[in-house]
Amino acid sequence: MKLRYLTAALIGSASFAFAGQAFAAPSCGANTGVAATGEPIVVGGIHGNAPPGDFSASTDAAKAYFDCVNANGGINGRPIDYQIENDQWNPELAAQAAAKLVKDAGAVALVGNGSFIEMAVNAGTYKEENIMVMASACAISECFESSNIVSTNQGPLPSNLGAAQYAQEELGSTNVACIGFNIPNNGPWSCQPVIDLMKARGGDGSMQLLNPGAPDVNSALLEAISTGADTILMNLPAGLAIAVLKAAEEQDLRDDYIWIAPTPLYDLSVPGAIGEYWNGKIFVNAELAPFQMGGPDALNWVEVMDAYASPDDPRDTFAQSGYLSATYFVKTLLEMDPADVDDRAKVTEAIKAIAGYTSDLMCGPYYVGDTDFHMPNHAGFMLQILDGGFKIVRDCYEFDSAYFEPHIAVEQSLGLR
Amino acid sequence: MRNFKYLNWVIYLVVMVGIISFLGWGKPTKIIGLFFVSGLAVGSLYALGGIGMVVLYRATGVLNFANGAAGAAGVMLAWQLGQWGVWAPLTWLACILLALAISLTYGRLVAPRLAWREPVVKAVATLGFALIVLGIVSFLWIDDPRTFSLPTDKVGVYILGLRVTVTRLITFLASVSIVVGIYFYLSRTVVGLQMRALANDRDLSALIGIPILKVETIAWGISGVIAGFTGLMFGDLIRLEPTVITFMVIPSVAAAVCGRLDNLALVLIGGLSMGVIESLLTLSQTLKGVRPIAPFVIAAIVLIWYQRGTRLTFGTKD
Amino acid sequence: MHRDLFHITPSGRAGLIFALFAFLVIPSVSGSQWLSIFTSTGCFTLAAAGVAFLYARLGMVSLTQVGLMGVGGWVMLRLNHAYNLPFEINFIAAGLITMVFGMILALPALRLRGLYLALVTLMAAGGFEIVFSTFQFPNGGDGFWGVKSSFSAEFRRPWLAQSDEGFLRYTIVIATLGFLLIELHRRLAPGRAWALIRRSEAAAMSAGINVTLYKTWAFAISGLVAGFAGALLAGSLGLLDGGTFRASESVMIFALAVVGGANYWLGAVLAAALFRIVPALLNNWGVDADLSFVIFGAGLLHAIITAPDGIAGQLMGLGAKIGKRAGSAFKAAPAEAGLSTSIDIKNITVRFGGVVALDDISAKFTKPVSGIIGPNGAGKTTLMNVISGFVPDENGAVQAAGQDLLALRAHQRGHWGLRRSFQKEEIADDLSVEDNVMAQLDGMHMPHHEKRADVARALEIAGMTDKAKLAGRSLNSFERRLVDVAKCLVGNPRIIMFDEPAGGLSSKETLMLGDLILSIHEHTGAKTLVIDHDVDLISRICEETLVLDFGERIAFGKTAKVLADPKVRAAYLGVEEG
Repeated sequence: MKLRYLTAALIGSASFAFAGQAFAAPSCGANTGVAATGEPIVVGGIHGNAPPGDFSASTDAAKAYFDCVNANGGINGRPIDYQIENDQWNPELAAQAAAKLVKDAGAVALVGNGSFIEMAVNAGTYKEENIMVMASACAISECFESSNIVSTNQGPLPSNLGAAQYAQEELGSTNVACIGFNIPNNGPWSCQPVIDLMKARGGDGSMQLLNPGAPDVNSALLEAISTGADTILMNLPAGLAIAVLKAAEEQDLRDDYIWIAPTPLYDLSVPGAIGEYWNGKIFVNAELAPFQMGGPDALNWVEVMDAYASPDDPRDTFAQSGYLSATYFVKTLLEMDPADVDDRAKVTEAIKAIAGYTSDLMCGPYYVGDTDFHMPNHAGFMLQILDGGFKIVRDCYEFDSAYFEPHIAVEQSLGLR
Repeated sequence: MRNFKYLNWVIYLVVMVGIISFLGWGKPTKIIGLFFVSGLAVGSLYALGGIGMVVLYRATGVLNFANGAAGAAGVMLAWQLGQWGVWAPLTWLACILLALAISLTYGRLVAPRLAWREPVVKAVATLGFALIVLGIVSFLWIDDPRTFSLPTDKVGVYILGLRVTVTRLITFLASVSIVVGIYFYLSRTVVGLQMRALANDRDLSALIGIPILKVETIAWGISGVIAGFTGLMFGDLIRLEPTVITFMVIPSVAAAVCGRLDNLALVLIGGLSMGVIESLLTLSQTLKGVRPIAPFVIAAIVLIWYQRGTRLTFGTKD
Repeated sequence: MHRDLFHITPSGRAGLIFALFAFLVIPSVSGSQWLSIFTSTGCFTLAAAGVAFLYARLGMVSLTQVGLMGVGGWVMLRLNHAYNLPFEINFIAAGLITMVFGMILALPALRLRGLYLALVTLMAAGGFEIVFSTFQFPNGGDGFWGVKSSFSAEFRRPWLAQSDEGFLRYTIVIATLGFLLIELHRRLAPGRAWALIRRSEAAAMSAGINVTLYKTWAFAISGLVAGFAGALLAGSLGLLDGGTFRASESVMIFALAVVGGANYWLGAVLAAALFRIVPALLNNWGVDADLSFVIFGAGLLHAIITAPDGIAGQLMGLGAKIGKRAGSAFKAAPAEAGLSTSIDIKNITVRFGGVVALDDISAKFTKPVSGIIGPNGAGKTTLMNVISGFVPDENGAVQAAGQDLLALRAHQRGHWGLRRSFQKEEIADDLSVEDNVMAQLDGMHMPHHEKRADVARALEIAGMTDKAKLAGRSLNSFERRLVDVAKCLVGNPRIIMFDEPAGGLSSKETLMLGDLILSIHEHTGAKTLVIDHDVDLISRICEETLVLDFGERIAFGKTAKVLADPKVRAAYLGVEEG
């Protein structure tokens, strides 16, 4: 009955039909083809899934990959026991989920986490317990500015920057109005670098904040317009961004402004939802490779999903991100001394030592490093909503901001530049 | 007494003009006009939600927090039917019918079992029902970006520099016509008269032979239809997210409170005023961050203002 | 009295045993996840106790409780990150500051009740939700709001309870103390005052109870425990998120308090268990979160419908019934003699809108027992309400013993010695007969043993000594009347007013009541005013009578003479003049 999953699966299979390899065997872990039977290695994952949103795609995909690994020799013959918890957007449940996985179940690491809340609540616990979280669907600052969380996705800050940078360079934007949530670790945190970027490039910027539950997006839009902006950046989840677009359509503002958005608007349902009016007018930043790129990892992801995930599980960016986190994690475990994979401290050490995994799904290399901030993914693609789909208008490009200076320094020290 | 009534209106106007000029001080008139009209648009949504609740409350004594959930279910169904290619007017009808069915289900099956409880408990029980409906709706239609549009979205007129779609005008006009329609219904029809009697004194009404079940069922029906219509409008004008539509009841209650859960015209005025003030708060640097607080503050002040002469809270049924 | 104060009821004993069990056993057998769940449950138990207490004792509904927890938690985190003070000091400050917020919430409660009060508190909860979601909770950042983008700074737990296990024990102790605090209040003067307020504010006020004070006090206690609960929750997680304190959560905790059973300690525990343990279990069992909404909502509806006293009420059954104990007999104190006042009503006028309810009424009552009669709507009760202070008049006066009563506030009139009964007797069902009478004295300054003696004497005059320990709910209607009279006899009354005291009584009971009223002056020296339709009663016990019709004085004087007046017969007895 999950109506959306059916449509998503249909769209998903349609867009990958050209690959023509739908039945090729997926490649996972050691690729032995023999099921792992040894003592399980406990790994955890926390997602948020309750009204108003579902972030379970990343853990679903990670689970599919781990299942595939377990069917292909596991980690040196030992299966991964992947335990998933749901924080239901409730901070107490988030803390309880972490307590259960980290303290009670004794997980060696958490992989594929996707939530608005979990990282803010548990970042301290993770540090205290010396466990690494290879998250996949992060949206708040704690996720990127703490010692024991590293996320495969970008979150709003780089994605906003990427969108604004493209608009400034290619579309002639001079003044960007960033409409975001009035939540300190989300809206202001991710809008400010955009303003800084525009000012650094001789333009201007401003932020308009709205409360998550507020019914009225029109006043934020009007506020944005009254600042004299020429570009509107919708730093919001897809549902709200669409509401802003609807309000703008109501005012017939389409041709008076440049419309840009970070990754959340890269969702295959969006072009249909916003309708013909916006055709060709909206530019969206994508934090991972768009589906039509179809590199080896992208294809393997589809195969893993087809073979091991439920047809109901969404095939979206968060699923790609969960899959990527899981592959990096398995790769790390396989490279470790088999005697150490149960030792959380050693696993943490090994994850922190990751210095440059690459994938066609991600523009740059994936690395961790022993720092109080992690944002390996800060380059992306730019897409245009066109004819009911997304057209790639700029391939992998790096985002230019002072915010990334410490990250670039780490990359240089790891020899990635 | 009559002078006193006018005094209230004068005070209301002075306060509104005061707030508008305070917030709009030094801003161009065009900007104030934009936010004013935008506020009216939001306000009419609050008012519409509030009116639906008050209509039911007057006749049955139940403040129905599940109104929003019923509307959300309705508009999600309408969207789904639209996706399947059903002719649009049929989908709107389906929305209203589903909300009607949900409302009647509660009104016939659950509400009578709580008839003897205090109004607060009755109200709180409807929240339980709202959770059931919201849970089912979110289970069937999982989180995904969707929009719901009406053909009237494409047509608009300019008011004080703001383009206002016909959908918004319909919302506003519907609020007014429901207020007027209910007024005439209550004063001109037998069932209306019975509803008023019921609102006045249930026990007495039962004694003098008013068919309570029938009258209440009609009231639940009317409120279900209004909830369905409200759901359509919310789905179109706010966003097509069941949770958001469901919890719109909380600011809607604020509008209902402005009419003391009784006077529909005051609900309308209260809702509109809240929308305008909330929207104009955008102009204040210090307050714009918390502007959705406006309905709650206004409702609390209004409620206390209504009671200013009372020294004691004499026991009444509520 | 003091023995009663520390008396442990069977239900209380069960509660203490449960707390002890929870303290000793639960923390040591729980894993980390369940330690966290139980600590949350403990916090919400405390908060639910506050909201249940307001509802059960005063009949007032607060839908802001979780919002107030947020205030407590915010203050706790703010202090923790701003100053290097120990947990305990921050904790107490959080409780006290939240208490002040609770008292502010009591302001609307002074004028509103029922659904309207609930809605005002819901509006407050809506406001808190917006503030919390906008500004978040301090996590060690700079400035007043103290929010930074990285993970939270360190939270200092109490030195007694550094570990999760210790903190759960700490929470259980605080929650138990919170329950004891509430129970202590319930057994003392505030408890009796609240019972009267719940029954009827007018009755409470005329008993000399400062309604404003006690209502504010109740909200303060409820706020205090909410603040403590919020501070403990902050201590459990080390940080807080606005998502916990949404308005709908406040509504939910109230709903669950009703479902659990607002009258019982177990009810609050059940409410918190339903609020925190059940969702955790459903989540553990892998039930889809959307469907757990459905299960939760259906359970809530089912419980509200089938368990009017809450689940705790069903569980506790009749076991909590307090055993009967014989009341100790006190000797009746000699009546205070020499109090000879007249009641001099001068030019009382009352208008409701355009309607003149009382038109320039004057009368000077000098006899021990006087009557006021008149047909329905004549203004009898309005006159009594003016004297009591519930209805303001325009510029008249009521002089008695050298004091203009109208210059005093309603509860001050009670202290002065004004007593009244209402058409419907005002006996709180959940207080004993003795406590019903004692409640009248709670606002008065007199030594405790004198109060007891006074209550015993009043019950003896009313002939209710042997029923002193019975609960109000077990009395028949005549006994309730007698207790109502007894309530008027305590605390040195000077003027007692009875509003239709014989309503609904049989003729034999009316006779006995008449004798009782006639004896009041001899016992207490107070003057009595009686309103009644029963002309037989009035003519038997009242020496002088005032007759009102449509707000006007028709006649005043010796009862026999007044009743013979043709105007009175026309207006009141329906006999045509001439």
